[in-house]
Order: sequence, then C-alpha cells, then structure tokens
Amino acid sequence: MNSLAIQFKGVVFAYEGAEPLFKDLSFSIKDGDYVGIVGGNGAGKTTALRLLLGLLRPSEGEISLFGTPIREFSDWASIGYVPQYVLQREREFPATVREIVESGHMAKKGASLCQFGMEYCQPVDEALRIAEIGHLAHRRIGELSGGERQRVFIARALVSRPRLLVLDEPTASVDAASQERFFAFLSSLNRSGMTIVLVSHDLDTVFEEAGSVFSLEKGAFHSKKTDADVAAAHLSH
Amino acid sequence: MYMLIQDLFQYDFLARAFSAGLVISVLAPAVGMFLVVRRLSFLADTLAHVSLLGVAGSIFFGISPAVGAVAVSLLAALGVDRLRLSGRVMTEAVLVLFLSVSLAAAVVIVSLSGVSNVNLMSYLFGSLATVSEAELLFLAGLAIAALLFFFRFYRPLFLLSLDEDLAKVSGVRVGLVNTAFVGLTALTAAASLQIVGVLLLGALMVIPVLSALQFGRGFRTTILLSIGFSITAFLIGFFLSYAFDLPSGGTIVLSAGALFVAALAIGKLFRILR
Repeated sequence: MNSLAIQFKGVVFAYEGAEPLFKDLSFSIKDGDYVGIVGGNGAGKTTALRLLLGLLRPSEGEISLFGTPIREFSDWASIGYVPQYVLQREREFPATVREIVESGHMAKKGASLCQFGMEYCQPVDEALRIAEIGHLAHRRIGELSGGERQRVFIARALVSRPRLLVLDEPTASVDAASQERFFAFLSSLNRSGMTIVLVSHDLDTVFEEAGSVFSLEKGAFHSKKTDADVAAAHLSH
Repeated sequence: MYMLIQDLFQYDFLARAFSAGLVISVLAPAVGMFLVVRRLSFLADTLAHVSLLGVAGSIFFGISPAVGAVAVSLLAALGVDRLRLSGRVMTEAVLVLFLSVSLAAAVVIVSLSGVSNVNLMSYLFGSLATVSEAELLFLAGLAIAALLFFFRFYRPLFLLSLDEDLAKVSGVRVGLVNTAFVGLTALTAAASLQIVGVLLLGALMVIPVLSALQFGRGFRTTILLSIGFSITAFLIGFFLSYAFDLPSGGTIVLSAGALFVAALAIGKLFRILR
C-alpha cells in the first residue's frame, strides 16, 4: 500500500479571465490513505477535486491517478465519486434508488439486464447492503431524506468496487446522528483498503476522522493533523 | 371505429398514415424523456422549426423536403450543442436564437420561392394522410436505429441526464454520446415533421412524458408509461380525426393534453392512497 493514488506536480490552474487559483500546486496521496481536505470558501477545494478527477484541465503541471497521467487514465471503474450538488438538487429526478446505484456499475454498458439475473447485478445488491439501503431499493430518490440520498450516491460510487473514493462535502445536508454513522462507515471502507479523499468545511469532523488533513490556503496545501493545527485552523476561519 | 379498421385495410394511404403515426408515438416520447429530465424540452421545438428552414430551402432549390429537413436539422443540432456546451451562452438563449433565426430565414426563402402558403401549412400543422411509402420506410429505419441506440447507450444517457460530471468520472465519452443523442433528436424532429407538424412536434415529445411522470415511478417504467400514453393519444386522436374530419396533428396533441389532465388527477389520487 505504498504506491501513490494521487499525485499533483507543479499544477497551475486559473478560471478564464481570473487570477490563477493554483500557481504551483504539488502534493501526493498514498494508496490506502484517508485524507481530508479543508479550507475556507473560495480556497479551491472543489477545484482541486475536479482537477484530480479530470473534470478540469490544468494549464501547466501534471496530475496522475495510480501512476497514470490523468489525460491517459481510463480505469474509471477504480474511482468512486460523490459530488456535492447531486445530493441536493435531484429531488425531482424520476429514478429509483436501485436505478441510480446500478448507474455506477459499468457505465459504458447499455440497458440494464439486472432483472434477467445477469452477473453484474451482484455488486449492485452488495453496494445496497453495504450502504444499508437495501430496503429503499424501489423507492424514488426524491422521496428520501438528505442522509438516505447521500447513502444512495455512496452506494452508486461503491458499486464498481473502486480503489479510490472521492467525496465533496458529503455531509452538507445531513443531520448530526446520520453524520456519525456515515463517518464510521467511511472508516470501515478505509480499513478495507480503500483510499478516501474527503473535502469538507467541517474542520472538527475532518480532523477527527481523517488519517491526514491538507489545508488549502493561498493556492497551496499544508499538511496538518495536530490539536494545535485544529485550533489554528479555527482561528483562521 | 369498425369502419376505420375496415378502411385501414382498404386504403393504402390510411394504412401508411396509421403505421407512421404509431412509429412516431413510440419514438417521440422515448427521445422526449431524456430531453425533459435534462431540461432540454425546448430543443424539440427548436429543431422542428429549424427543419422548416430545411423544407423551405428544399422547395427553393427543388430537392426533396425530407432531405433538406434532415440535413439542416442535423447541422443545427450540432451547432446548438457546441454553443450550449461552450458555456458562453445560456442554453435557453441558444435555443431561442436558433429557433428565431431559422424561422425568419424560412419565411424569407418561402417568400422568395413564390410557393403557396398551403404547401407550408402542411409542414406547420402536419398532414398524416400525405405520408409517402419512402417516408414511412425512412421512419421505420430511424425507429430501428433509435432502438439500437437506446439499448447500447441507455446507461450513459441515464448518467448524462442525472449529472454530466458523474458520467465523465464513470468513463462515459460525454461529447460523443451527447452528439449522437442530439443527432437522433434532430432526425426524429425532421422525420416527424410531415406527421404532426412543426408547431405540434414538441408537444408529442414532451406531453406523454409529463403524463408518465405523474405516477412517480422509476426511469425505465416512466419511459414505458410515456410510450403507452403517446400510443393511446395517437389512437384516440387518429380515430377522432378520421371520424369527425379534424386535422390529425392537432387532434392527436389535444388527446395527449386530455390524457395529461387525467394522469395529473389519477397520479394525485395514487399519492394520497399510497
């Protein structure tokens, strides 16, 4: 578990017509790590996440996933992604929980053949069970609470059995009790060998849960993980 | 009703009209479902109006209107998609831009060509009775191609509808699938022009989907329900149009509208009882 899951080398990025957000961003995350990324509003947490997923392209520098430059990366089944806004905006989307979870498995496949007992139904059932939403499988996504919907998208991300799970503000619309269960769940995934990258504005929880924490300040990552750092981070926000 | 069935077997033009209408009733809501959930319902209307420019151009240059409609509609669909994805102009604005400019160009070209308004009216409101054998064959081919496309690309299209970023991170070639889908929408719009007409095509793609959505089911079931609503609307509209000598396109769309009102009430009842 010593190889690198993510590597940024001298990454430069600017949104069109704006000052560069990152002028020389370099950091790496080891395979099997549980990393939290924190930072104030506009620090570039989500931008860094979108760069590492290949959703944005840096103007300079190189980003690699499991040793492969992002431009050439094709093993997307090994990446599970839970975006921030899907959890909040898709109340009206006409799909059942099972359909959404299925969509995470072999996205290049055509129509679902699960109802005919095809081989890849099993990971769908397993992801539903792991995320403890098996009983919700036939409910419509819009009928669920924020915490339940969050679990649906986690199950969707898990269905391809990824090596890396990337979550952007996953607890934004979740109550405190659900958050506790959710972080326990993430820890168990990490113990099973999955690399986890979690972006959150909730400093206390991230410092408590993640094995290491990067704070994004002025376009650069600073590694933090001590009580003094927590206090300092609180003061700086 | 009995007379209509008897005439269907007796008159070729009626059998062609019935077959063409049935094919469109399956094709239009299947495409429409992905348009509605991606908040692109207006794309169908825009492409139908753009097709009219193709028809006008074809009349002016003396070529087949179907060929002109398909060619111009496809080109415009790709243009709309590129401009929309560039993020420089808002989607709704892009659609209005294409609709207005193509409609204006069609009006000017028709005026220059000196064609009577009667010819254009059949494209504005549809004319089922004039469907030729070649048009029916084209429709059947398109329906088979669309079926294969949906079977192969169902999952990527579903993901694209849910969230484009999720689709990209799942390895979907978003640009390719998007372009293919917009192309299919353009072909459907152009092929349906003769049957329901420019002004009513959008309705046939969208209203059955809205009716199906009232039942709060999953994605696949909603697609099947919307096709069911569309076929029912066609059958009711076709029968009424024949029995009372009413314009077919308008009667079919009115039937779809009436079914939507019924679906709204039944869907509400379902939610109360659940």
